[in-house]
Amino acid sequence: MFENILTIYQKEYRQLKRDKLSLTAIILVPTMMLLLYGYALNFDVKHVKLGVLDESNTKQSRELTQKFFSTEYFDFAGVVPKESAINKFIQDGKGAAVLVIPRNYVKKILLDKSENVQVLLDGSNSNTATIIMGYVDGILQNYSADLTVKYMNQKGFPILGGAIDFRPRVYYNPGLKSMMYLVPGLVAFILMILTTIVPTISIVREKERGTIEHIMLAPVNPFQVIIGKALLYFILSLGATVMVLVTSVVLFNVPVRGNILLLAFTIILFLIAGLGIGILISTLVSTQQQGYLFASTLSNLPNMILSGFIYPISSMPIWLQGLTYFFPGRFFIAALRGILLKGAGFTDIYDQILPLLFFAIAIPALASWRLSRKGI
Amino acid sequence: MALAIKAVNLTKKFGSFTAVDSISFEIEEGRVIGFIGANGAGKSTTIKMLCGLTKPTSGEALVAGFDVANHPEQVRQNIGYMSQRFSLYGDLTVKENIEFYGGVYGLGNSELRQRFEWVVEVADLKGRENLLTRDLPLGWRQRLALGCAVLHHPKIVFLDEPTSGVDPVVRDKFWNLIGRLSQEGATIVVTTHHLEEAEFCESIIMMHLGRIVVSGSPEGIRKQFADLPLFEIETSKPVEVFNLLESEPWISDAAIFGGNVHVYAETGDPASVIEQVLNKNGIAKYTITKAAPTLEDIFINVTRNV
Ligand SMILES: Nc1ncnc2c1ncn2[C@@H]1O[C@H](COP(=O)(O)OP(=O)(O)O)[C@@H](O)[C@H]1O
Ligand SMILES: [Mg+2]
Repeated sequence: MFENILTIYQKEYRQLKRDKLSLTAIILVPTMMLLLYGYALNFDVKHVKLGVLDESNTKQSRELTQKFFSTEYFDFAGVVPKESAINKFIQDGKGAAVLVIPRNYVKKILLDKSENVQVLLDGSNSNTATIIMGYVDGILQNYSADLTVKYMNQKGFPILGGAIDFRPRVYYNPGLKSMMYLVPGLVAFILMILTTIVPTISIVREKERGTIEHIMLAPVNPFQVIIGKALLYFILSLGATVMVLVTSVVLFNVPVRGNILLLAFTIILFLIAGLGIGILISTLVSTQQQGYLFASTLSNLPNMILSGFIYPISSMPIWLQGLTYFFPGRFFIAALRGILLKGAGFTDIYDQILPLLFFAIAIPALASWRLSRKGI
Repeated sequence: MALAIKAVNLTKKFGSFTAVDSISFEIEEGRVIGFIGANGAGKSTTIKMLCGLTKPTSGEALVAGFDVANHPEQVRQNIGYMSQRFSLYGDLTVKENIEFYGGVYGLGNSELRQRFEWVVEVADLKGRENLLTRDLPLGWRQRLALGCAVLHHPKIVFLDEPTSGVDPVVRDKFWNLIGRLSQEGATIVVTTHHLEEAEFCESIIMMHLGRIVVSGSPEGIRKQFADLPLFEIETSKPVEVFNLLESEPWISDAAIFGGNVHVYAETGDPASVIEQVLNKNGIAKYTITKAAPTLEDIFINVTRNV
């Protein structure tokens, strides 16, 4: 049983060792993709032209406005005279967004109600829009935290003598670098490609060359063959993942705030699900081209588009949002963002981990079922 | 004598196309049997059904006493198979290929070492153990493939077109190896499209378009078809004779063979009819003799009207 798996593993390892090109590709390409996408797909949006409609026109409102323009993210694009002029302002391209401060702004913050400042923006590029929303959120939270501290101090609550800088950072993604937001998505995308394509090719190649017939006649069962192969690609994918993550941390300053074991567990679940998809595909196709085609259309593309990597899930039409639940990418990216950026623990993201666990069990089970019925 | 293989109405269809059409045969233990037929005759499909690699559409096959459909495991334990396509890993060395197949067949260390020596010897690969298999000449690769297919001492060995593409010298070496396996007691089933190789077999089964057209020992088959109206014309002008006869409607085949003309004449009293034609056209010196049919002649004859 184990000898058989080891025999297959060793054979696979020897072949791969000799195939320097593929070996290099498997180990280095993920990191190269990270660098390439990382620098090319840089979603950072800076110097957004922001118009201002300040109906409050008070010291406080000017202070808030100033907060926006003291960052590199927003440039002052002009004053918008009245609400009805906002649409035209954006349509004419004078600005990409308009900050609206209502007439009763001061009264609201004094009444300790969350102020109701609005930023209206051009939603035609949902990505940019999401990023701008992130900035706005961050700036407002910073500002309201400032106000809270001041307010408490005024009311005589010396918050530990004011020694603590009670300034909550933006909930996640401090510094609002979109690269950090991007890396989990990239890791998911890269790993999905690696885990589906590589084993598919390795298995289907044996079908194309006819060597699989000889293995199937020997007293090894299809599971041992598949596990022997998957074991090697699992180890390699894990290695590639470590490289990608280290690169992300070193070059893109992506933090690893959460528990390493939880991170490893999450990654392993995703790798198993991915390898399962690869194996499942290889039971369905008989040529490498079909393998590529199946892997890209059934798994890689949806896992990229429907995972929140490129397009935020919340801005998808409802039916498309529903579809995202069928792909492990969605849960993996959310879990990874949680663990890396927010330092989330299991209890914070169990609703992402459990679906991943489900995929990591269900997909290999489905593949086994196919194997037991149809062979490799 | 016990039967190694028994097939009854074995049929394989691919969609509406019938690749193997209800064939039945028996193969005794310890024999060397050749399946002979042109490309597409259904030889590989038959072999694959016997090995359990393809499910028959209908009919049944007993291999080593086990029903292929119901006891594929037991069948597999008793057979070795070398497919028409190159069955080794080109990117593994000779040694690694042997180790791999030894491994999947569960050979223990000492047995593997012993079989390793054996394969290297019979495949004439001493000193080349660490060469990549893809760098070996085809003849050596084929013998290595055969060696790997019989590492586990199977009772029945299936070899699908093992000699296709190799030159005659290497082919003879391959047949020597087959002879050696046979002496060790294995039943050997070989497919080929070279009729000359039929002579190496104790029994042959000729296939055409999914059917068995003739079977028996080469001797027996030749005897059975001794009456075929085949004639050999010895002449100093073979080309003229050939041209004259070829266009005759009752000549269904004509060929120049080593300076002589061979014809297949479907008519009453062929010898005198041929004589008439030649005399009428001014060919004087010739002798006509009734020729004993070769397996090639017989094969052409039996497949002509199918
Ligand atoms: N998997 C398949 N699907 C469809 N047709 C096939 C398949 N395998 C073989 N055939 C057809 O069956 C016929 C017999 O093929 P095969 O058994 O390979 O012949 P042989 O080995 O005698 O050359 C051929 O016409 C071939 O095209
Ligand atoms: Mg064939």
